Amino acid sequence: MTNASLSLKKRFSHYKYLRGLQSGFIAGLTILGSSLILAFFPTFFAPYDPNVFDFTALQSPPTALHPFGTDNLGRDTLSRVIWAYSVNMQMALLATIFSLITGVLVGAMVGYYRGLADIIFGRCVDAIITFPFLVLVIAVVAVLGPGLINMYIAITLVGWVYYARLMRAEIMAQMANDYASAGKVMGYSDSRIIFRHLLPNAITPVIVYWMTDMALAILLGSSLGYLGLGAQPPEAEWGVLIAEGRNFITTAWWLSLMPGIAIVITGFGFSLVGDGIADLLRPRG
Amino acid sequence: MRHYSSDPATGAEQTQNRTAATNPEIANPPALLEVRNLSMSFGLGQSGLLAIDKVSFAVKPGEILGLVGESGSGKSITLRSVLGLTRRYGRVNGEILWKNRDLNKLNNRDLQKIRGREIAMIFQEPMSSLNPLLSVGLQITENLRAHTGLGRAERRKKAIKLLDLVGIPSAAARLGDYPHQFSGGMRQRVMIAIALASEPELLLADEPTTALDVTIQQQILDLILALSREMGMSVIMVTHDLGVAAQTCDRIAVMYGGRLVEVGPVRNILRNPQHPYSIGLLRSVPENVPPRSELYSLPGIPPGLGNRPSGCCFAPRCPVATARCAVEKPDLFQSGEKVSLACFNPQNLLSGTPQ
Amino acid sequence: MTDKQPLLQVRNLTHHFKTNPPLVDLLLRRAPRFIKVLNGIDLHLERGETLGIVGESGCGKSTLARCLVGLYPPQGGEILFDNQNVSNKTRAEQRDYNRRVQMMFQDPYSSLNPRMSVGQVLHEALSVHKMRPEAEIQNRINELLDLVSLPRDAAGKLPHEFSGGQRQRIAIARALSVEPEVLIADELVSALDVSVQAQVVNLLLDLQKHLGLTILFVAHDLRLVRHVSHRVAVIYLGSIVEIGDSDNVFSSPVHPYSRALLNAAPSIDPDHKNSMPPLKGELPSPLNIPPGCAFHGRCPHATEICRQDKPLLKKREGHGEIACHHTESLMATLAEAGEQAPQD
Repeated sequence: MTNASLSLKKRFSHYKYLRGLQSGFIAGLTILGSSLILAFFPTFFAPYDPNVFDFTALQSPPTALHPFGTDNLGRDTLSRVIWAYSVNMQMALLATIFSLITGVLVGAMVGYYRGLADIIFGRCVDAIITFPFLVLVIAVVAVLGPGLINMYIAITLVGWVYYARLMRAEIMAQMANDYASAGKVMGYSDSRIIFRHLLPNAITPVIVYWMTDMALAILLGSSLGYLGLGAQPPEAEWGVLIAEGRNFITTAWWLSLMPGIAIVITGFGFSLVGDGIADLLRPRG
Repeated sequence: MRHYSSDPATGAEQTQNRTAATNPEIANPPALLEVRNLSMSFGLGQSGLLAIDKVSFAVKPGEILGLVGESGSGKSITLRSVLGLTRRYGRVNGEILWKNRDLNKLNNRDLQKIRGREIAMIFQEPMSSLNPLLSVGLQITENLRAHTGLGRAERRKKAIKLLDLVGIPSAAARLGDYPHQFSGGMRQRVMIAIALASEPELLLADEPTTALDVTIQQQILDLILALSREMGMSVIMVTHDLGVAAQTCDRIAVMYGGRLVEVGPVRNILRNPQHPYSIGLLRSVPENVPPRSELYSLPGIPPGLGNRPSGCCFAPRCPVATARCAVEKPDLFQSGEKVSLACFNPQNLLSGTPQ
Repeated sequence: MTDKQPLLQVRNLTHHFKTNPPLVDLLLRRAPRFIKVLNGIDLHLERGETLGIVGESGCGKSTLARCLVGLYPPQGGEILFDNQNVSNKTRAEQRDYNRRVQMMFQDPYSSLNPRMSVGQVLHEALSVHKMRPEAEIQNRINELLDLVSLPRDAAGKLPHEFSGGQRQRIAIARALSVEPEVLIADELVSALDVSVQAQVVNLLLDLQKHLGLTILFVAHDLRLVRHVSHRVAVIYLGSIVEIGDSDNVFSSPVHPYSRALLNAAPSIDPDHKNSMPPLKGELPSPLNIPPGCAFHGRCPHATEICRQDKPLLKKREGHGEIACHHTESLMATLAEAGEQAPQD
């Protein structure tokens, strides 16, 4: 009887844990999932061609025909926001993934081996993080020229440092645990200790940071698009859309507001998923 | 966390009868602290986890009581519950009688006046209970200000006296030092000095020497013993080390799974334990056994908070458990003149000591 | 023991950690300060014996253990294993050395990778060192679990599903998986409850008997060290002050520090009070080790020579090796006391 009630209790607590985890995580996954679907199949969802002018409906406010309204050239804002998903989601991934990979590798090496590499790395980090991120990226884009590819390069050149710094700290914290020493005593190679033992335990905060960084990348990409340094018009991109609506903000508020809402929702989705992953990857016990 | 109030009010309870306390030998003095059926469960309602279950014991004036048990036995929680420190984690039931008052019924404000003044507490890790940003002198004088009516200059003098009393060399010079400038043993002395500032009648010591080396442990235990004798102060000492209990305590209460299993004078418990758990604990200490012989060991591990058996908690590990032990919890009963026991099958371990 | 070559020999081992100098020191180009953790350790391990290492925290006993398995790169002195110098080894040699000299750690909660199941941990050790062909590994894992008295289904579980005592068994199984000759046990049971300690100690003794293991048992619990060790070394501030047969050192320690330390362990007999007054003072900082005999500041017998010359370990008749200038007079008082009260 006690065993039964005990296992019931255990199960119950497990269930509660899952439920607590789920609400936020599921919401985040739903947002990101739908964002991805919109990004991959914009044609299925966009009611109009995003670049076709409709001179019968110039600057139309939201109506049944144009739920998000139209711009000064009669392009459907909803369709443009939806088409922008593919650019902006791509931005979230491509602007961060190379930073993530480089940062994790460099951070793990530096944290593990310390020594001279660590000192040089420390100076690099100091130099880069004392500069405002956006200014630095703008400077790099200014040199390389505007455009999406150059923007990715610019963000990666600066962004990996943040990943590496986080990774280095996590690896060093994990190395204080005796299982790392035990690996050395077992005669395992450095790469085995780093990648098989330390990395899986140290990566969680980096993944969580990656999620928020993807949201930030969308913001940054939009900002650069807004400034004319990222995606180039007439390409539909949220930053570009907001910039285009800027001139009409008093007469056609929907032009800037709708892509703005898309940015907020997507960013929110990334942080919810980040939190969920943090819970999920936390080792028990 | 500091365990004393910053409330400068002076309580009327401050006046105390020290003469009775200085002589522990008088026959059957009334108990200074009496704990009756103390239970504490984490969380509220039915689903709460019972950490300690109907613990009853008494401490006489000047007596040192050892609360002995393994991790998770509830010994620390018992100690903290006496001062109401566990209230915010769950529900505390039972009576804690201190000078005709039930501490469990007092609100936090009234309890605060007793904490640190009549009952003081010292912890295992002194660094975490001393404020690292305040000088040691300030921390002692602050306690003196809270609990005595001394003036500024007198407080300083008293602080030096206290540091001197606990054996800190050149006490006057060290008043301005900060906790990190002291070594582990010295920090524990500082904490004891702070605890003694209000001349408490009862000192609660939670594993005071566990973090220290044996040579320093001996110094600290000697200090606590001497202070207890000189000031007639009672002590409840929580420890997992039977040796520490043997060398310092007058009586020992053995805890297992949140309940007291055996209580009695130190010699009765350590020479002739009757509870199978006390016996097992004692026999697994490698003392007076042939070197490299197999040690007596209890099978299994102590139960965690969430999975205590419904009968006697020790039954699953007990070599003499019966069917009854698995379903019924034995209550503490008087088994000898001074010994109480909670077991359906008391055993006899004939003491092997030669004296 | 026999007079053949010892299995592991340590000669004049020193290890100093460089402190992180404050900026002021760097600017003033002051010489860096060193924490002198090991200051010339000499000892040897015979095949099949247990050598206990005792001392207060900060005396260097854990550093010694870690130096022996190569966790700290060698600085001064030498370590000989099977008559071969261990330092300046190639990676492959170092790996082979580590296979033969294994270590177990104090904290059962941090010494196992929280994301690897027990089976994976053992599998990795067995396959990296090619202890068994792939097909036999599963069998061997079962054997190892049997050896440390863990149920076989433990292989599929993660470390957090086990208690502290069981985790130490897993750590022992991991160390044994590579079939080592020497086990370094650094505070193996210190984190465990008394009743569980006894289980693990029994296991260790049993394994030693059946596998002929040589063990270096580092612990601060003197009763435990006395129980498991054939010989014992007392360390003070990175130097051995007394080393000898366990019985001998514990029942009649000669060095004043050994006397104070070995006496300080509280007996479980309430009437067996410690005969010695507690040692005064505290361990000096290893940043500033006193010149001469490091113990002279706390020693009741210290004289002028102790403040100047560092005493060396010398073999004494009827005792082990002792590093003290006043060994003769101390042995004389010991003998006197022995005649008066032969029963301790």
